[in-house]
Amino acid sequence: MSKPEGPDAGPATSTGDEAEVPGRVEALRLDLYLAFSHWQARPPTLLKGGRHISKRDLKALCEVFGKPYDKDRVRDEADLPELHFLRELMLGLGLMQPQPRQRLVVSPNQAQSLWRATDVDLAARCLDWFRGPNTWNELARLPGVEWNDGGPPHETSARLAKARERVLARMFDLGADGGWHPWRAVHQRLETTERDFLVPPYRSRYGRYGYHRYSTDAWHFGGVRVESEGWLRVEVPFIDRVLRSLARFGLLDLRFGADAAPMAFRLAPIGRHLLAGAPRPEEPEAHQVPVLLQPNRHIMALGPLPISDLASLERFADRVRLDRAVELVLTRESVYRGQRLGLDAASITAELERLTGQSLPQNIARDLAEWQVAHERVTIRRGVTLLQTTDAASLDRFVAAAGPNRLQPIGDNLALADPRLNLAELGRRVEVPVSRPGPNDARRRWSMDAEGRLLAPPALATLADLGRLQRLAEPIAGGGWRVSRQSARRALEVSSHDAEQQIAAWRSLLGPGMPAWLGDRIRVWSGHFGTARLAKGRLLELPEAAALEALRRDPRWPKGLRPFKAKGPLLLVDDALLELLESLLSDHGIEIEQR
Amino acid sequence: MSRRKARVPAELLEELIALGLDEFSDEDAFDLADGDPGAMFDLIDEGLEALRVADLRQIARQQGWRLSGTRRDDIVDQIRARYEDPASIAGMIESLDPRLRRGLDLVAWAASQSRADLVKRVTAMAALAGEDYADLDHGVGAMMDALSARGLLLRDGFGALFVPPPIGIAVLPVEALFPALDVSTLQVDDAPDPYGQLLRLAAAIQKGGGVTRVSPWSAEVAVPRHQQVPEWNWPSSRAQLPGRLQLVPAAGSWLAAGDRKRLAKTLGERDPLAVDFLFILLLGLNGFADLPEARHRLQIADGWIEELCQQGAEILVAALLEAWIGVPYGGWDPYSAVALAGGPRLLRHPYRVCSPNQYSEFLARLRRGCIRLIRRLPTERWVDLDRFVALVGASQPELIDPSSNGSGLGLAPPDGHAIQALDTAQAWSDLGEPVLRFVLEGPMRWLGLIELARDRQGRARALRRGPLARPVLGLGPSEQVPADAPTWSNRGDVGHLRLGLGNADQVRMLSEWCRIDLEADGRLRVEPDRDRLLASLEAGANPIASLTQLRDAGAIPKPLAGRLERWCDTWGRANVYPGLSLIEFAEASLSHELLARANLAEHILYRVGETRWLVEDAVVPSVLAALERAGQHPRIVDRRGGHA
Repeated sequence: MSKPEGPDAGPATSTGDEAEVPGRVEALRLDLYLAFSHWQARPPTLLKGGRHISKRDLKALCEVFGKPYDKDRVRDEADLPELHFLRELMLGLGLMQPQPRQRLVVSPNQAQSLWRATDVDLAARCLDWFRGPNTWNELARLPGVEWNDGGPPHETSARLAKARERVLARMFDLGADGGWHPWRAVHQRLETTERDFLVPPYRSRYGRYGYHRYSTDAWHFGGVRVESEGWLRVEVPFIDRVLRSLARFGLLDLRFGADAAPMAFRLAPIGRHLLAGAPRPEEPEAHQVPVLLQPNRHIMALGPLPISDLASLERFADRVRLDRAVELVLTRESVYRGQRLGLDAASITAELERLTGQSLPQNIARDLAEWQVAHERVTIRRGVTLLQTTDAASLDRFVAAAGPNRLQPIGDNLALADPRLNLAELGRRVEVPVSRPGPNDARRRWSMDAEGRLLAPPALATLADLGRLQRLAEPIAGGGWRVSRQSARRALEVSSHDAEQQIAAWRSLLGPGMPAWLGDRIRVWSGHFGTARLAKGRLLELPEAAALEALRRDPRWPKGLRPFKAKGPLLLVDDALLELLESLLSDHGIEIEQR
Repeated sequence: MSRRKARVPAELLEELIALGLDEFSDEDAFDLADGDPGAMFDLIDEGLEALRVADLRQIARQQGWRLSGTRRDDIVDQIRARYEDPASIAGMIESLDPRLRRGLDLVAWAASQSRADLVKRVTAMAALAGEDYADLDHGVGAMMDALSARGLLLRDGFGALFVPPPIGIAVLPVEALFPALDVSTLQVDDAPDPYGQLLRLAAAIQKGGGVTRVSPWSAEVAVPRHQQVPEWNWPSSRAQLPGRLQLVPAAGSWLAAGDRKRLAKTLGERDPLAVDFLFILLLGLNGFADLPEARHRLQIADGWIEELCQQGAEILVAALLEAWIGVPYGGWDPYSAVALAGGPRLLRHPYRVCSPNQYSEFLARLRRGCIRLIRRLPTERWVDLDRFVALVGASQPELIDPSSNGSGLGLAPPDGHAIQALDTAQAWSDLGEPVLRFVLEGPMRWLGLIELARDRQGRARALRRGPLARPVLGLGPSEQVPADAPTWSNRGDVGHLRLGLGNADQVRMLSEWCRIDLEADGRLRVEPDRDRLLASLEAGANPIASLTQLRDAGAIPKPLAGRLERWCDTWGRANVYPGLSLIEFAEASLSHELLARANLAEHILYRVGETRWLVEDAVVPSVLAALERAGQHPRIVDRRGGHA
């Protein structure tokens, strides 16, 4: 490899006040995991622009990482570059996927392979993403610089990737020997040899533009008024951000000064392997961390647990503590979460026994078994296909023609169909065409006689209509359905269908042929008009409100005597009409409450 | 505003509106009646609003109508109501003296014009209309004033006089303008059969492996490479004339000579222009698909025949007219046909704007205007063609003048250095007459809008309304074309018939349960198909109704009807429901408890026995949340892809 031209800052020498931070992929893996597990439980929402997550999600993420959230300082995600970088990296690694309606959802399957990946493989994947045309942008929020980009995003992305590549190349020139180098060495190399690696410098009035004017590719750096400022305020921070990203991937070891600013760097073993072609470093030997499961369902790990094991446990246990020691707890809800992910009591037991090296405490084994039984009391099968026939004999013909286990009867004339089964073709074979009921099919429409009995349609009634009948009507002994006072009351009490909802449902079932009387009768039967109150006493009507006010001011006015306003229609009822009224109200489904 | 019931069926009305047949035009206001009755009465409102109260009272006095009230709006409403009353309309016409009655005939023919134009045109028509109308060669202005005073002529917002549409509808056609004509010495052309001819052409193209299309432009036009239509101002055009005038390029046949000859022979058509016309109609009806393996080769598009058969008569009529009206510049037009036959050529002034698109609109306007002429033809009788053409020329010379809006089109005078306006008597004689004759004898005859009778020399002498006229005017199906019922094989499994105007509805019904193919002779081969019948039922159609109708009409044999009914009976005996969710409970008591407690009844599509519920997949999240609130931890088996 040729020696780079230009002045060099020379090898870095230690002053003794500096702190060395070796590049560690495991730290990055933990960060990824923490963000992943947090967003698995609370998926974040992208803002309308599609570039940043909401402040609410950002604040929650800060809490996960123990970072302060200054609401006055943080305008959006770009003001928290470390977290922003982490989310962009997760998207790049496939740990998250954008979904419709601006949702971001984590990908558990992708995550499993990443948690188990070796350090070198994880760093390599991160580096691949970093070098590619990603959406990460080191130019956002440069201190004192307002960067504007008028170009298309893909061009910006490609141009940034190209500039990063130049930084990597210079760093490789410097760091291939594995020695320490001053932080500013990369700056100097690039300034001397590739001054225009990021922004073409100003040349002439009619030539290429610099920072303070829109360049030919639509970049503008507001706040950079003088050409000489540009390098220090744009390129140098850009290079710093690239180097810090590499350090985060575990490719660089860093040395910090007393002011916590990076003083020097060198390529870490993984960096030398990935950037300078050195042999692949050996993976650190995984040492067994003792894991204990206590009878109070707490799981304790006395030391840093490998992320893959932590991820495995967190599928069915809730994290309590994560520092040097790890503590989790098994709860009914956490186990249910695992069950929703496809685990059962046996697989949870097996995983716990693998990690602890012991059998489960008896009470926990018993709890798990009980929870599994409870879990299986209700099963929801989603996306099933059902076949409905006129009768059991017809269904038998379908079952026989379909072959073993392809149609599973769940009723006299209903069967669950294997999703791979071609029912149309099967219908042709048994000479009973299979159809998919449409919403307005006249041949499937029910009718009703004057007695309120339902007359079945010429074609097979649909399940939706039969379901309506289950809610609205009552079965008749010997088959069939009818509408009655009881059925209307039941629809009201069990299905919470008020009169108008019942009438609407009958209209869908019977279509234009719905009898005119049905609506009125449903209203009566379901007590649509509510309850009337019958009170006994004497009513006093005063000529005007002023008279009442004058009376109330009189000290002799009895306490507790208050005027009232009628809430609804109020009638003065003669005792002689009472019996007739009771009968009339009853016929209209209005109950009388005596007072 | 109340609206008269449209005489055209609603579906056709929509189609006709789409075609622009209801379009308001100066020359033919009353034809609005065939399109939008609302617009028709808007026009009357406009005419009445332009009158003073004194004029309105005069109309009422002349007609013997009693008016109540003094408010202007009330008076207008009362008079307007008279125009909606058929008895009043009849009274208004019958009360005219003979001279005014004849004057009304001519005014209605000439339609909406300025007063001066109308006087000129009525006078010209009177000279042609025969002895009965001879007394209208003078005093026309006074006659029109008298009609105005009786409310039989109103003035629109642009100052043009018009006959109120209900009056026009009652007056037209004016039978007295055409003396009875004896056609016994003439040869009457065969009844036009546009669908039959189209299908025969399609069959000939389909069975003959397609046709080759060629450039229609004559040698005078240089067409740029890779371009089908020459640009109007193409600099290398040889259509340049002295004085910077340009010839409007004339388009000829799109068919290769060999194909054109073969198709004419197959169709038995002596006039090759008819083949060109039918070919262009097929293009307009989207009947062709390109053959990918050969450039400039066209073949009948897959499924096109079936699609055509699925339309009823009304839609087919509208589709045919739309296809004709929409043929653009360069496709096929009467000006080109007349020019290529040695007739006069259209010229264009270079400094006026007339783009090819505008020219295409002019052509559509001409065709619409010619379709409207059907209303002026007597209902049943034959009329003298020369007399008809002359009357149109006298009353509506602008019919053939696409440049009436000043777009700079004209005719070449003998010196060739200037442009001659198209609205002159000379232009009508030179261009208008041949173009109108060509449209009548060509496209309108081929489409069945008119029928012709010829003398021994083959020259057309007489015309009358054709089979397509009734449906186009919204007067119901044609009675002139007998319905061709299918002839069925002995077993009733294959039938043959020709598609025509009379049986288009039957064919549409057959298409609900038959596979339809085209035979080499242009007949349709119909074959009952169970899958198609079931698909029709599945799509919500009611083939049983059409089946009953066809059986009652004797269009299908009884054994076949029985077989079809049996097929229908098999439908609807097995239903399939994809994408549902099934909720299963370990015990019935749990199901009942949750139904009572968890407020879930509204989500349940159907309960299967005591322990299973069916729900729509979309409500599963709500159901799951309700179950979890009730203390359950359900197991989810997702057949859409793993566990949820």
